[in-house]
Amino acid sequence: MTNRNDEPLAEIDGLSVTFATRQGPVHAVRDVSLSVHSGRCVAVVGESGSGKSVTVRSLLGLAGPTARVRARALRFAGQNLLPLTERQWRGLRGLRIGYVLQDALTSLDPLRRVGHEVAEPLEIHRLLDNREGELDDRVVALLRDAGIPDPDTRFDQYPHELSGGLRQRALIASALAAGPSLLIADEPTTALDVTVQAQVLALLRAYQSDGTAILLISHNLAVVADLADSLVILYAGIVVEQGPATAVLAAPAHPYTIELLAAAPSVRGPRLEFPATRSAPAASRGCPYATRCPLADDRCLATLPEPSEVPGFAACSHRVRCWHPGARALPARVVAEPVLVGTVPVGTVQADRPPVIEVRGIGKRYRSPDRSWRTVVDDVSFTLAAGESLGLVGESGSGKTTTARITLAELRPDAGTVLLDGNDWSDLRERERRPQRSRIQLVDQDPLSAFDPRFTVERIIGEALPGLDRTARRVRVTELLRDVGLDSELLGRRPTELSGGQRQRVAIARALATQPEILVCDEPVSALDVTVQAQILALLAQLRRERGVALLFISHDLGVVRQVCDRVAVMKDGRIVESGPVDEVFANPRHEYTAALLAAVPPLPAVGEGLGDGLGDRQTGDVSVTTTTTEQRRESLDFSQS
Amino acid sequence: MRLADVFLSFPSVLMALLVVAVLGPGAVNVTVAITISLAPGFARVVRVRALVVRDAPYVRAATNLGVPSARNLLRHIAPNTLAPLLILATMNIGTAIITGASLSFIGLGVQPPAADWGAMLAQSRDYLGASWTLAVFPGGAITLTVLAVSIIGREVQARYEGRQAR
Repeated sequence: MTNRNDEPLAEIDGLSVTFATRQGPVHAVRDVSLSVHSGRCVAVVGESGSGKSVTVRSLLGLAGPTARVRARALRFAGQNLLPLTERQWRGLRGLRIGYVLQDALTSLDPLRRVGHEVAEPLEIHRLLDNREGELDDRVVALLRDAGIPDPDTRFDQYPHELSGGLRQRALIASALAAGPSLLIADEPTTALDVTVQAQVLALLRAYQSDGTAILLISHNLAVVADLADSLVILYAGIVVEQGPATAVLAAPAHPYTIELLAAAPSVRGPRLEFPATRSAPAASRGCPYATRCPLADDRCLATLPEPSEVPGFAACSHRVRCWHPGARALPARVVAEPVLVGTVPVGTVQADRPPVIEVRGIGKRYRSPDRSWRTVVDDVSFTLAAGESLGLVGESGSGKTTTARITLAELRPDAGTVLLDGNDWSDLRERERRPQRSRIQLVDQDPLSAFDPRFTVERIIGEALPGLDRTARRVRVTELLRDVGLDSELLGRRPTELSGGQRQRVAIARALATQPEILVCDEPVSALDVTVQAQILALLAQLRRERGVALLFISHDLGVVRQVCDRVAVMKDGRIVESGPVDEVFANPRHEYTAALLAAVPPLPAVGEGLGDGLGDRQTGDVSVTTTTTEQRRESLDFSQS
Repeated sequence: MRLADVFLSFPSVLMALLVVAVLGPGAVNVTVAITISLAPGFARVVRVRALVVRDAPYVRAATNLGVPSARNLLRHIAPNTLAPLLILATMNIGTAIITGASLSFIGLGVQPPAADWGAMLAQSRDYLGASWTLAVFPGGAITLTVLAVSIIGREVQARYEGRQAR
């Protein structure tokens, strides 16, 4: 640990950012202070709209043309940044502060070779020229440092020829090309699979131990918990809690931090269910979290508390902005006990119910551009009983979505067959299948593109209700909206006017309109914040309980799958490599790929302890919360391999 | 589509000229000629749009809801394919006006005594020394009209894309 009296590399003191909009000024960031030292990692965590991106973009002079940035101090390496001109900002960006954008898939110019993209900061800041191939050599070295295999080949490739993980690495290599002392990474792993995410986090850790300061932004506390030295929790533009990561994780003092920690579904911790209702918007006066907080009282609604030291951690400056610091309450209930490694008996017997859908040895292959056949799905079989929930996990490209599309009879399998209630389904002609289509419905990953952009919410859902007159349809649509926790005031909105969580709720409402027996959910929560994700998962669990809908749930997030599924099937390269009851598979993975997936899930060190006191179930007293430490996880891996 | 590509490879004025050469001059024939010369561009856009919209998740979603293919075509595919055409159409009005004027200028368009800016411009050439206004006003009228239509087209496009992006 470096000396705490050291001058910080970057320092934000009392930053406020206001955007002028047609509806009046929007206070995106209010009085945010943080500092990053060399070789340390500070993580800014909060949900979308909490002002985390705006905060770090202010440090780059990129807050935007309509933004008004005010701060007591904005310093980088001892230099005051506030009076900088645009030209001076440009001299800083890329050269001394590297910036990795969220979306690696679109942040690389599709028409430029990867090597040139990575070389750009070196060229712009005239650090190297290419007279003797120095530049190319340097770029190849950078690509190699970023963990890109075969960098000489990759240098000449275009972004579309690289996988998501490699693109993110290339982006990081580019941000670090000029050797900046500070790297800002805005949600660097959000779009990535769990195994690739683990690799990217390891890469960041390696740069950090070489002395680079890292400012990391994420909506997922679990992802950053392992990497960050200190945490800044933002809610509605206000720092609600900040301090050393160990202190914040061990004893989260703000109710929002506690909610964030609990909302990330874990692979082994207690299974929590949050209320399926939408969270209230942030309050405009008083504590912004008061509208959502289980502890809120009149004082919270009236006045915003000043930051105060958390008792017991005064020595390392753990501060919280709450009238009830450290009080534990969580708007969630425990629905299942934590899984302990090796405690689940192997071979738990499943209740024998007739399958509502039966997939028998389906296969699908496509012609590659080079004329060879590529098998996407290979001999996949599973059954799904009424009211049951089956998780399909695997990395992108493992054939999960193709399997779902064949199950929905959107695609015809090349081999095998799908039976609905023991009758032909995939082999039917579309004309014969159409009357039965209402029985199996899809909830897609990206609901925005699944809605006709010209339609209002009423028409979108109404389309699933043929044969009703206008008034009857409106009544039914309103009912459906209420079932998924939405108000009827959304009836006239277009898809672009809804938030991500609202869109996913509308998508679920439309799927429910036909009263289906089976819902196929293809990554339904992967684009959502952890707190919204927890609500949508609760909604799905509730629908299953109350209506007996069977779920085929596709996800790359193992924690999410454990949250909603009874059984799980792990897919790799188009095949199911392991399947069984979800707790059994996660506790005793028998295939090495399952074990690798589980090992890649970012651990939340010591969260259990902190949360243990926080769970309302201390009152019911029948659940003991246990954490799985990294050591235990390793043991479980060794166990599975032996 | 290959035929459309062949048509596209000719400049629209040349294409229109060819048609008028076959059909003969006159107001109706000029209209037909301009239509034929501009049609391949529209065909291209419609085809590409339809291919995109056909595989759009919302069309798949409708199929999953049990919406019959014909209704799907009318309700989702057609409107979403044709909306961008409105922009192309307004942008193309300018091209059409210029093509029409060019044909009239060389005497293949609207026949006198009917009035036409292109024809007026052609006739004014003989009197340029005596009265320059004869050339300036028809020419200016063509320029202003095309400019106005283009600006309207751009505005329509901006509004449409604004709605998409928001």
